[in-house]
Amino acid sequence: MSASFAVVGHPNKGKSSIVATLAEDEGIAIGARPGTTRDANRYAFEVDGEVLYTLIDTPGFQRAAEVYRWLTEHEADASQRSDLVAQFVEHHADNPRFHDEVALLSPIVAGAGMLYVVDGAKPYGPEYEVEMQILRWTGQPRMALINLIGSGDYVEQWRSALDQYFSIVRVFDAMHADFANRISLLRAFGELRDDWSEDMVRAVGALETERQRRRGHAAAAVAGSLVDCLVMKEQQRIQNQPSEDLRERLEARLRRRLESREQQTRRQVQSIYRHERLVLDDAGAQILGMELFTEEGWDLFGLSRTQLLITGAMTGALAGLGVDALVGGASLLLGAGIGALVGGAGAWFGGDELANTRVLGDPLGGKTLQVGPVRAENFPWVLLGRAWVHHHLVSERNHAHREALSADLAAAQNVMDGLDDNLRKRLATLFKQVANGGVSGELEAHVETVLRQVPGGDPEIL
Amino acid sequence: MSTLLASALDIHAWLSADNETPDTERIQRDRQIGAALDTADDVERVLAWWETVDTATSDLGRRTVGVTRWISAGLGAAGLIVGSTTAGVALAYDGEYPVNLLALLGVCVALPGVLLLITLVMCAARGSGWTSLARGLSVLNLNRVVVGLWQRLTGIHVVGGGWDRVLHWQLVVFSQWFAIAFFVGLLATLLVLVAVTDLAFGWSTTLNLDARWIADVLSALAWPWSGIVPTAVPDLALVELSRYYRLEDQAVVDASRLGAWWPFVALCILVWGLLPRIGFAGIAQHRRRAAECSYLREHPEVTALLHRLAQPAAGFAEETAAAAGETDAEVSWNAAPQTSGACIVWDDAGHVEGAVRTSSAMDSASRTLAIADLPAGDVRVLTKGYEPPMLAFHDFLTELRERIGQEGAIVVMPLGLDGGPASSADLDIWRQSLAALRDMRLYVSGEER
Ligand SMILES: Nc1nc2c(ncn2[C@@H]2O[C@H](COP(=O)(O)OP(=O)(O)OP(=O)(O)O)[C@@H](O)[C@H]2O)c(=O)[nH]1
Ligand SMILES: [Mg+2]
Repeated sequence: MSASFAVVGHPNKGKSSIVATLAEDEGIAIGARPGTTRDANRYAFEVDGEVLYTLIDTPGFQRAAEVYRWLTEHEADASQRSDLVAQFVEHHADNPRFHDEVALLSPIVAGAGMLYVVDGAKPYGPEYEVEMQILRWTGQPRMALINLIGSGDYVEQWRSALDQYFSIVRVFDAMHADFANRISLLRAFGELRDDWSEDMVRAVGALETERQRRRGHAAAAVAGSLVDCLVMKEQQRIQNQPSEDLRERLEARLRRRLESREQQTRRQVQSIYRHERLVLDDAGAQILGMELFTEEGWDLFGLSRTQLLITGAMTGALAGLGVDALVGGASLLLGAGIGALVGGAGAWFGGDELANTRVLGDPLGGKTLQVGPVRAENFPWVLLGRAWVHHHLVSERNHAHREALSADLAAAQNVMDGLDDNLRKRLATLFKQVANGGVSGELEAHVETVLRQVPGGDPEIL
Repeated sequence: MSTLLASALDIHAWLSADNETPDTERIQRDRQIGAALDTADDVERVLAWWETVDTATSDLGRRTVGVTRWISAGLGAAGLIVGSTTAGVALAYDGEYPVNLLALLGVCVALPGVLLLITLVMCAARGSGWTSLARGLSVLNLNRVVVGLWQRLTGIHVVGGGWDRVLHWQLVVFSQWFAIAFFVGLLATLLVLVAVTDLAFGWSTTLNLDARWIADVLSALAWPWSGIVPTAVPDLALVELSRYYRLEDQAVVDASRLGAWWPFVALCILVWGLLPRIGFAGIAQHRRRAAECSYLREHPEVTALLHRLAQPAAGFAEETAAAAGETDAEVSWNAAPQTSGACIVWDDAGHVEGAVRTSSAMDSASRTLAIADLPAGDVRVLTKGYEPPMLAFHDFLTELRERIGQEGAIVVMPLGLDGGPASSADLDIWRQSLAALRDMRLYVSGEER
């Protein structure tokens, strides 16, 4: 039988939060009120349909002392204490007084290990002792997790109390645990019993691969949206000269479509990270919800004017070198100079122009007014910057966190600051290629490199 | 016509719409299909997957296949007509002057050859990144209109992701298709005319070219088949014999000998016109397929799909029961009366001289014993406000009520970590919880002891 772990303890100590974090489930009920969880709920981790381990969220102890008294009174009836606990469960299965205790003890009696959750921000009290006694009587593998709800620090006090009853005692902050914390906790689960360790090692491996898949998948979503947005245009067939009114209508339509494409990508990224219900809080909405085409947004998310100029000049110089190489290299310096100049100026002026408008003659007769694609140099950078920040917030988000998504970017002057020059240069070239209808496979890989880093911060491999 | 392109178009449309499907659902669905696939080739895997899900939401692919067929048929017909008309005009022989070989070869072989060359340069220019040159050259090509028509009729609105390459090779395939039909028309008309009329070929030029040179050029043209059909290789004698000048009123000496040119002409058209086109059409088909393959693959959604197909699906199965928290009923509490009655300390909540000490660790018998000596009247119960009220405490309050009678007030005082009253959030929790006891003389006090 695969490993299973019942998460047990006092009411309201974050049992459900720990399960939500580990199971990445934003649907698990978490509440400030004790007694939020009414019944034992099972969450099985599967790889291709094979269950590797199961987490069981349970209600907390309500009448531990009564249970303990029953156990001691009947101690003579059973040769083993663990049998006694099983008898208790059997006897009281239909007793509403012990509904919660039966729910939390049943899985343990059936073979589950247990994770006893306490709150290390509140002091230890002797009233916890009966709970720990009962758990010890079950004889099953057990680990204690010190969660931290609030600012107090009684961890050492708790440790010395818990050490007497549990083979492993760990601090695990349910709401702020990141991926590495979770992985290390799962490894510890494997240490509880020898025949569980292999499955837990596999589960850890699967989680790590899954994390990479998610990032790749998110990069694909972002790259896809970049490709779509970079070539998106609005067209309408016209009879005579295009009116300004029509042009504005087409431009508005183009903006709306661009913005809804961005929204779609965000939903997709949230779904990839199992955060479908996440919404932006006020601050987040101010930053990430900013309309795509606002000046502040362009400054915050895109490249700065200087960066644009430099990146533009660099790629321009590259194109210049290309021409030189073909011409024979005689005019190497001159070519590079002109290329750099043209590239730089293009970036500069391109920065202000949103979408170019063109009237196209049709080979089959007639005319078409076309607005877009957006050719402003900074446009792909702004899109990428916004997607980057959003991805960062979502991927680092813990599933026990139920508040709205908040973006705090005050510290980051400019999101793109952290990007390395070569990557920026490569991206600039790819953006051009994509805008010209080129192939985008490489873009995805580079977007993934970007998503690996912390927006605006030091390049940090997650 | 390639159904690969049709599938690619449909798959992209389908996957783009599918990205609104929850990720977990996509993983389950695709991994199930992927685990059963036994090919390693990406394109084949995607196509096999498509067979399984196939619920095409757009008819774009179907329409594209249809339109492409129609256009190819149209181009084929047009090529045949243009080819046979050209042949009809170029081979017009009224018995006065023989058909000018040089003009015939110029129109039927050299000119199409130049067009082929331009196409080749265009392809090479594209391949080496000279896109503007390639685009400029393709303007020369009438087929651009055809491709425009193709896009219009199919309703394809694709840009990016390698679509340009597909378009380019589609254009080349269309133009080669037309050219093949052209040469077939040309050849067929030539053979028909040879069979039903007498044709005489000669040569004549404004330039001062000597017959030996012309003979050399023509036999050079004939070298591919010189070993197989030696009769179709012109010799110097025939070349000299066939020269004519329009001004000289020279009768055609031996019309039957001049007719001997036709195998050479036919083979010229076949070898220098038709065969290169067939060869190039083959290459173009192949390149178009490659372009379509990469168009299919180079889509971010397809990359993600390939991952989903290959990677074991890891995740948590749906929960067995969704536990929803009970919604709070609004509870109203009266202000607690000031009381100086007996004091009970629950769970070591504080230290009060002479207080009765009880705890949730005590079973009900021990608790009953602890409060046995309490006098009737009001009582205060100090609790740890930061710990949640448990049912054991409810039990205790019920016992306490029995002990002190209905008249006395029970004032529960949840304390904070500092010994003062608990936070209002905690007080809320206590009030909410104790409301379940429906005891009119039970109070929760947030005031200082
Ligand atoms: N700040 C902070 N709050 C937490 C943390 N873990 C849990 N909480 C909060 O503590 C409260 C109780 O969390 P739950 O996960 O519902 O606790 P529980 O043990 O499942 O509670 P019951 O189901 O009622 O027994 C909720 O308001 C959580 O938001 C944490 O690590 N940090
Ligand atoms: Mg719970």
